[in-house]
Amino acid sequence: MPRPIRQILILLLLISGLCFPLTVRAESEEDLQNVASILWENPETGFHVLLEDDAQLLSPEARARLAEEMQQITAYGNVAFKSISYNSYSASFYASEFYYDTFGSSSGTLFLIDMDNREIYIYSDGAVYKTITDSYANTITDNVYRYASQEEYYTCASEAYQQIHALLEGRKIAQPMKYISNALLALILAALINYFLAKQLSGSAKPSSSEVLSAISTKYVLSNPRIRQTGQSKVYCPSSSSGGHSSGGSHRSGSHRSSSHRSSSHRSGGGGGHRF
Amino acid sequence: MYKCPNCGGNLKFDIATQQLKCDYCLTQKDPYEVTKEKDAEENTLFDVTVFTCPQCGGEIISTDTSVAEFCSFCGASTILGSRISREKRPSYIIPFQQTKEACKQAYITKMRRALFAPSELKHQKYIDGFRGIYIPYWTYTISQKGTIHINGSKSYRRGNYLYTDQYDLSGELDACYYDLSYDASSSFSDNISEKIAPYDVKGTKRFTPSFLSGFYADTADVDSCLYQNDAIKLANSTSLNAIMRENAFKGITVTSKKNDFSLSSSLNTICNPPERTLYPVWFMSYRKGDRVAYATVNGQTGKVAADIPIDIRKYLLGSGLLALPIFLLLNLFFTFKPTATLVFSLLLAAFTFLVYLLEIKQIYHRDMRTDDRGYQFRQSPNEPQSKSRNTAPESIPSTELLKYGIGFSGSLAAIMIAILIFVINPVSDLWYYGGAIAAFAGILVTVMAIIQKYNILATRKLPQFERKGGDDRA
Repeated sequence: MPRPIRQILILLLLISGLCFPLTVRAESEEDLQNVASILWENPETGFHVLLEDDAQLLSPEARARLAEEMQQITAYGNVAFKSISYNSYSASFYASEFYYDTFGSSSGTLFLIDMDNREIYIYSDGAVYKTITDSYANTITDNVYRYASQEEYYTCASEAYQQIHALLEGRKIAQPMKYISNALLALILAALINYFLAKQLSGSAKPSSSEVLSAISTKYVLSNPRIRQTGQSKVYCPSSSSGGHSSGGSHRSGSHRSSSHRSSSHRSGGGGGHRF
Repeated sequence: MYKCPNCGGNLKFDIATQQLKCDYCLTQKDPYEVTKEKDAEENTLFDVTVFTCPQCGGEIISTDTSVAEFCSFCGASTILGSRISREKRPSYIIPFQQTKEACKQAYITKMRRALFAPSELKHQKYIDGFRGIYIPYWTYTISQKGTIHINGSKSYRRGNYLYTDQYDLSGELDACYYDLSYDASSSFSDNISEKIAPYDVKGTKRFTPSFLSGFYADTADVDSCLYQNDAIKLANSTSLNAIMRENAFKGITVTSKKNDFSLSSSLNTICNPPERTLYPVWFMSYRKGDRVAYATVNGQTGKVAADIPIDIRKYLLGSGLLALPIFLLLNLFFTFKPTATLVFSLLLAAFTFLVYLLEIKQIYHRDMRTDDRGYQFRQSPNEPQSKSRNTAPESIPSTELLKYGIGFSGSLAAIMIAILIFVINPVSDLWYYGGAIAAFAGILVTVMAIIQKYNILATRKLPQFERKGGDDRA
């Protein structure tokens, strides 16, 4: 490569480094406290910690503490914290897109605070998603959303990561939402089922016509059955054209697949959230 | 009463041996061989009909339709012979086949399944109260004989055309349906008699009054034409189905008019003069205030039909217990967010609302006894009865609907609250839980209202089936 071109490229890299300081490797305690975006890699597993507080919800100290707490999850997968103040999509869509753009299909989890939609959201993928399922994501966000409502964002995220870590370690977490919802539904369903059960068990079925007929004597003989055609009518009724429809269907199908591929065909993860 | 030729005791029909039997000396006689020396004498000087017991001279007060009673003084089983001769004698009878013990056992088996029935309905003292009654039935024999003609058609496609061939189906039909039975007592509700049906009419015997000894019996008090069209309709539809299953007519659909008159004409249907028949029923009543619940057992087959009220306390306890496994099951498979819980509550409240609407429609018809044509006939014997089985009007008058307001208000309030919460769209889960609790309460109010009404209808106003005295050992 000619020397002038190499110099221009280095210069461009330096400029881009100054313009996009969001992703830097945090090597020291001092760095952790001063940057809005933190990247740390677990040397044993190769999984990363990413903390991007775009909405400036956390103090530098809180960011550092949170990043440290997040590190324990890297034993199982990548872990990310993201806060945003503007989002033209839904929180779930943004979370899945951000995760995919950052970690690809690699295993991990993301905790998003979407200030625009006033929603917190947990998105997980890969092996982590097998533990932090949609149900658990909903449960965890339900457990911590009150902190976000009270603007205690650090506590909110910290609690969420603790519960994620607890689940990944095989421990249990409190699930009041699940139990309250299921208890209420169980009561309503039981009241309705029992009513039909009581009616069913108390009632007696009327006999069918065949039962009535089996209890009496009957005689039925039809001799010399004859069939005579008395007329014919025909109506023009072309069979439904299959070519056009098939073509249209195939085209739509192809289009759908293409669209699906662009958006999230590689996403194997999912999650859950809660407004605050 | 039938006197024992050996000791002069009261001969009564013994179910186990199907003979008349003396309780004292155990002498047995064929029911067709014994004759009565003396009948109870009828005296109609007062508003009620009073018979004089041929054994002790005591008064037997009878209902208008009774033909067999018991003397309240000496307990003698007495046949009111003048009634039988005056009111036209039944032609046939199915004698009791199920003993009282077998009937009680059938009832106990039924009550084991009725988890929410009041406990007193299962008490031995109550169960001992079964009484044997012969209920009058009209039996219709429908015959169809001669050349039949039915219009049919068959459609098929050929190219771009749809062809329909019309046919005339004919043949020589010889069909007969013997003894299609319908209860002829206005006191015996149609919905009870339908539930304990059918009787196996192959076990029918020629009537002789001695079969009634030891049991109560009533005479027919509804017109013989009342159920004629039901019998014809059943015969017509059965024959038509059989004809269309014939190999020669396979693949052809009927295009003839399927109304009763048209079919009767096509199939040469004739209804022979109906016969009076007596069928055996074990009867028991459970009184609560001025209402009575019935338990009936088919005296031939042992089939049970009973009005079983629901005990509210048992229902609530049962619902609580059932909620537990449902809760555990839901926990295994589902995690509902509070919003989803409220959506489900809303849907269940709407479902309950619809169920309530359907239930009160049934309750209204049963309350008015619009589906009991025997009862309707007695209320207005001169008015022509509808030919169809269900004569009830389809819609309930709006004034009647207001009576059920409390039940409606429960699920309606639940629906309104749930919708309101969705409109407000609060962040806190507590609102959604509160809404779901309100929905649960509303649903419970509606269900309770249905049960309360159901319980009133599971008991009936006291009719003339209230029998006293008699022989408990019958």
